[in-house]
Amino acid sequence: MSSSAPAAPVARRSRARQVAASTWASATGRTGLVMLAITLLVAVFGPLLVSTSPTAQNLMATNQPPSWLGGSGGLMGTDALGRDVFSRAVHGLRLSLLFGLGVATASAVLGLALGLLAGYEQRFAGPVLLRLADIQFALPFVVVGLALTAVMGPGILKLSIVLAIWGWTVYARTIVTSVAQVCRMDYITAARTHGMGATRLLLRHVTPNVLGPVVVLWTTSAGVMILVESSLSLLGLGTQPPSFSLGTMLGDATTQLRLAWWAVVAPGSVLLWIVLAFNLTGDGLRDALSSSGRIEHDPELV
Amino acid sequence: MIGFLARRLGLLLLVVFGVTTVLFVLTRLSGDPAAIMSPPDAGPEVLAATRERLGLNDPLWLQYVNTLVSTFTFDFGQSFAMDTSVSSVLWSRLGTSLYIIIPALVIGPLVSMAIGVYAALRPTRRSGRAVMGAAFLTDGVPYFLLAFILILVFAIQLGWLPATGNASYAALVIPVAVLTLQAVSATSRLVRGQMLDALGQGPVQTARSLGLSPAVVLFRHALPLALPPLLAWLGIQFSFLFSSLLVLEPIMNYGGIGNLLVRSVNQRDFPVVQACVVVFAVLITTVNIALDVAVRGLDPRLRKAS
Repeated sequence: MSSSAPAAPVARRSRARQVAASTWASATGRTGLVMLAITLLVAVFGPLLVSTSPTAQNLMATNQPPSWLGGSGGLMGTDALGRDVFSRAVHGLRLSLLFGLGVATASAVLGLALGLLAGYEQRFAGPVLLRLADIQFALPFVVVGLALTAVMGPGILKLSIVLAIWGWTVYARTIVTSVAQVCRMDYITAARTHGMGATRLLLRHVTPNVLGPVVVLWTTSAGVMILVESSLSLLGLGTQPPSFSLGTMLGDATTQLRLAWWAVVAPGSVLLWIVLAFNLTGDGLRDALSSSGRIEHDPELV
Repeated sequence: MIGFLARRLGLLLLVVFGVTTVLFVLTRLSGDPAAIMSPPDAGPEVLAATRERLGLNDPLWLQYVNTLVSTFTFDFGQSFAMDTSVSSVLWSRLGTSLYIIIPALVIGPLVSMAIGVYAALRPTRRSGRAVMGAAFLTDGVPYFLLAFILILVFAIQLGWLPATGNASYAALVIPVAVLTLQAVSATSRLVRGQMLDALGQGPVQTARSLGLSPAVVLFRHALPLALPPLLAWLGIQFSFLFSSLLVLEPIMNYGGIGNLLVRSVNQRDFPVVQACVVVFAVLITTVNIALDVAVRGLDPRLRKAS
């Protein structure tokens, strides 16, 4: 063990660096990463730079069009209560992003742990976990969120906890086969013969093999979670006032669609931007991680 | 095959059982189930009556057994908000939803196949890349934003279609278009990927080197290789469709099952919520089982393995 222990982290880091470099090298991955960086910067620093209050109402200037349309509502107009839509979008972005990243990260960690367990312990825990995943698959996130709200009342914290727990299945299902395959490898048997414990074995020797797909899924699921939060907040069942997210803004503006379309399109476009950023990054990472036998040339069938 | 079917049907029972259990545990964890099961403004005597009617004074295991029995017999009792039994309102609303679900389920996959195959046959050409670029962009558009944009353009600006309701066939156009566009943008990209993989595989290469016509290579050799994973994907897509329905129907004021569930959550009409959740779970699982069976029928390798 003494000779292999120092070597392992070096090899792992170089593989990670290789994937990062190859993601950055592709147009898809680079666009996604740049878009994500911009989103994070705006979420962190944007509220400090925007001077207009996101919550200040001005009932003398409701539903004012954006200035570039000749209106007096500022960059993105004002909503039905005369609040500045641009300022609200910049502030609302924080909660949406925090929710997506938080829930995706928590469920990725849980999914990784349970996926490792399901692939390693194939006698009892594995099958039980996979059946549980099959059952959970029958209820999409939005339905779970609605059922939870019906029982416990609306609340963003409760929602995030339940969705984080509910989200483990996609990670576990994806990695369980690879985990089982890796566990049959000779070097695992060798490590076990040397008396390495199951936890250390899984973390040290199995996890690096399945981390790739987990990271790819994490990027897409962060976008999905942001949309789930937006959907529920749009229905008035997610984030509750005085807090607000991009979804809350959509919900507030839905009834005013005829009068102030910008109040819907602005938060909607920000959501589109975030989802594209995560999707592009995910696609770039997936391409960097996989070496498929996919044809690159024209098949010349037409 | 029979053993496989039995296992899948067992899963369906397990799903109903699991969903019921989750709801049961949640209602018991959240404090007083009588408060959840009563109308929102219930006084103490109403709560006592509810407790008596639902057997909440019984031991917990008996309550659990009774809940299971009523779920499996689809007897969800009376709605609080509407003066009818839960099942009658449920079936009529599901029927209304089917008017938008079925067209979306038929049009979506067909258009996705056409677009995906078109792009897969032109991976290096501008036309193929343009189609996929459009699909990628549409895939990023959240379905509710898509609905708002279509309403703004076709209902408010042009006035061609009604913005809300389900009174006429014209009112179905926007919801069906949203569900279809959402499905097409995601599925066509997957179709392209699967077709590209299939076109690189041995059997297809062999067929081409034998000089078979492009149409035969495409439809007899490449498509069957690409199809099984796509069918599995349709199952996932079906579950997305229900998620979208839950948001789409309320914003378009469409009187289907999604609208029913959201309104029942708002009114704390718990028996309806419970029934809707169970029906969703059963529908999604049944469709996935059917697709599983279809995949097995199409892929000889899987048939042999069983």
